[in-house]
Amino acid sequence: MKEVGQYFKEKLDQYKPDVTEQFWTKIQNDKGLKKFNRTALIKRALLYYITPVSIVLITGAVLWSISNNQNPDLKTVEVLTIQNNTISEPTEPQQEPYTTPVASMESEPTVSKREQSSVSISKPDPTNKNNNPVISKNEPVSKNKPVQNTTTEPNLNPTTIKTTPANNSKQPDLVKNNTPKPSQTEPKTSIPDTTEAIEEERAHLSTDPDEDKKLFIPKGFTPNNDGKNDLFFVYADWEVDSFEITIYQRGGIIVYKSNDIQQGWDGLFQNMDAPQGAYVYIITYKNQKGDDKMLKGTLNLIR
Amino acid sequence: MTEEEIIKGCQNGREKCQKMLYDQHSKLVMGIALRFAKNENDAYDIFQDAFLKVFLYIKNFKFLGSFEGWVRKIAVTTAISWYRKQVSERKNEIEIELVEDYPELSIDDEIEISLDEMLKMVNELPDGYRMVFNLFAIDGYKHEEIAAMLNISEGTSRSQFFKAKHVLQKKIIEKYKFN
Repeated sequence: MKEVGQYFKEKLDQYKPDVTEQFWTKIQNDKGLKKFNRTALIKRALLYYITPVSIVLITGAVLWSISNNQNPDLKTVEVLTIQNNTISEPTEPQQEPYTTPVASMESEPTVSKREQSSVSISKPDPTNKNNNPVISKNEPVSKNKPVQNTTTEPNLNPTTIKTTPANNSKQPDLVKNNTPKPSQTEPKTSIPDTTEAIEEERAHLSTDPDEDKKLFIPKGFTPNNDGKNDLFFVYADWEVDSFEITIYQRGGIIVYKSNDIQQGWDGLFQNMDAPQGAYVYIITYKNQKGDDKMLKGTLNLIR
Repeated sequence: MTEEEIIKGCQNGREKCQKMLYDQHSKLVMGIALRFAKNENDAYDIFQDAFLKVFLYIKNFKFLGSFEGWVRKIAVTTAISWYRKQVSERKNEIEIELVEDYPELSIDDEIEISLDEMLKMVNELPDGYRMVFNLFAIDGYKHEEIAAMLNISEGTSRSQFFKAKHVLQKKIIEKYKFN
């Protein structure tokens, strides 16, 4: 004899009937289970693929930005060393390079079109080459001569322009203008050469109506209260809209910021004299067409 | 694949592992569902609910104890919640039995009853009897636990178990009287 409960337990406890496949398909297609599987899949993807990939990408981006940041620093250091070498020489004629472009720019509207300027260049070229001896003795015959005299100051040493005509015409650089040693030693040479050089310079400085007018940004200034180049100005011969200049130390600290093109930097930072050296400027402005422009570069503070 | 690998695959939502797990444990779950339900359709519903619960809550399985026991427990709780749903639709009958000692009911163990017939007998029991009989006699729960699970008193559980046994004994004796 057996107890009823025991009797049933022995047989029903391990009762395992066969199950048809149709129940599996029902379970498989259940919405809750599908959602569960989907979220699990996304989690797996996040864990095994997206996270490692993003880590690799982020580290790569960080390394790239670090390497990118180092480059400008190196450049400024190089520029500083080069310019310091050149500037350490006597700096008397410094003020002239600044004023020359301004003067020439003011008179630019007279030579407004490229055709005229190109003609003015092409004319003196053959005449100068062919008639060099004649012109050297006599006064220069070209029509442009009087214009040059009025525009460029008499102080300007013709030889400096003669020695580096190409450079001068491209950029009225402080560095390049500041190598006047040969001018002091060499005697004055023939005038036609200077006219040619000046003419070339004027031709480059003259602007087309089609082309953008460019700002003139000096490469350096000397805030020593001697009345010469005490302020750092940016020159423009048109009314500049939405002008903004920011000057940074090499560390990235902003030492000067202004929206007024008429206002110049006096070399002071927090009412202290800023140290001599190279500074980085970023200028944003609107050109005559109204397009936003940005200029970056370095300037030298010399004491 | 070992059981642990399959379980981990299910925890990560891999359908292959879910299928393997289903193949391993579907019979067990179906057996439980069949004896707790009143008819086959109810059993299939319980079976499906139980398996969905296994897949959805397998994240919570911490590899303490056997997995089969865990599945079994889920199946039983699913059956209980199924029963509760049906009870709540009707009026809750309160049954208080003061008898403490129930006589032992036994049958001749030479009587051979087929599984299907046994199952049919259990299925034909009234709902309350069936639940208590299944839980106590086959799944091995104590009357205390059953009382808590089914929201009845311990005495009710005892008396229902006794009555269930009595009904089953009667049925068996009726059937095999002349053997």
